[in-house]
Amino acid sequence: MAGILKNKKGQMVDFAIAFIIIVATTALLTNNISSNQKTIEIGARQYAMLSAYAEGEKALEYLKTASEISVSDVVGSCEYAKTVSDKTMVYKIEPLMKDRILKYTSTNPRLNITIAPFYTYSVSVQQSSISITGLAGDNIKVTSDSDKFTYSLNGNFKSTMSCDKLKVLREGSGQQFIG
Amino acid sequence: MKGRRGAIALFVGFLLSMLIIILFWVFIKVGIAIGAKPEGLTLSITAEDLPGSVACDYVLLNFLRSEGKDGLSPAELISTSSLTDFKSYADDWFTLNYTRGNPRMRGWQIQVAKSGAPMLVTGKIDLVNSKFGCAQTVPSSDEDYHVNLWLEY
Repeated sequence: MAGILKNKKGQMVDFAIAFIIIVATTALLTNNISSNQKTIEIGARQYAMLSAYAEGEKALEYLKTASEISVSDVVGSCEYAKTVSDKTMVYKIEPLMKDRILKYTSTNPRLNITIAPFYTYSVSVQQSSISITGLAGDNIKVTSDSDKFTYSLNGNFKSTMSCDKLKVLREGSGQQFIG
Repeated sequence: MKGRRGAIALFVGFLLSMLIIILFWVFIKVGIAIGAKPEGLTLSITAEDLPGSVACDYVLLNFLRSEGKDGLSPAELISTSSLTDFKSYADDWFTLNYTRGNPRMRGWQIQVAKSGAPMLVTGKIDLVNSKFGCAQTVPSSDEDYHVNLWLEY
């Protein structure tokens, strides 16, 4: 009998603990709902996410133009490009691109952008055009600290320029030929 | 026998605990249902005023990607520091594609800057407000250019 009573005392303690836990949980769950005034802020996160997409597009556009300028800075003309090995061109383009990528920042103050500078480049010279391809080592990441999200996009790009266009880019840039 | 009674007591205790938990679960559900009643609930929605414009971003990207003079896009015209050509192309493009021939309808303004110093301003807008503005970075052989666009719409 004493054993049973002892068991019952133990059960009572268990029930008391379970009761406190359940009541506390109930209070927490119903706290927000019981309030009769609600304020919902809309638009900020959705807007930031739309902007993140635009920010990614801008980064890709920047990379594409930067690669064209880099090719123009390094080879200057298709005639010269045909005399240089692809490896040599890539070797000279890599640091120029890395420098530009590291300097790139977001144009939207609510968003941060990270472009990993680890790209694998390949340059190919055709009869009347030159192409540069950049394969990203990691995705481009657009993040928002305030809205807690990350938009990740593939950072690969490819640009093909005609020899005439390369010449115009070269003449317009006014830089010293570094090839 | 004592062990058997103890086991039964434990089992009954377990059943009672489960019963109480189920009862509280029902209690919570009922509580939520009552609390969620729309009566007396004041709902206010705040649409946040944000800087920048997605519409502006798309117009700017479309413009910078379009084909300008000598097969160069406006972004490439900036890269090659051909700002005079860029200005005349921008004037034509926005008149044709944005204001659609009536510059009084919707204002626009583009500013090209380098190292924080404006190098070119074209277009007209009554109020330059960052809310209707957007920007893009354009690389060049030395320092990057920053293109800012403001739109009225």
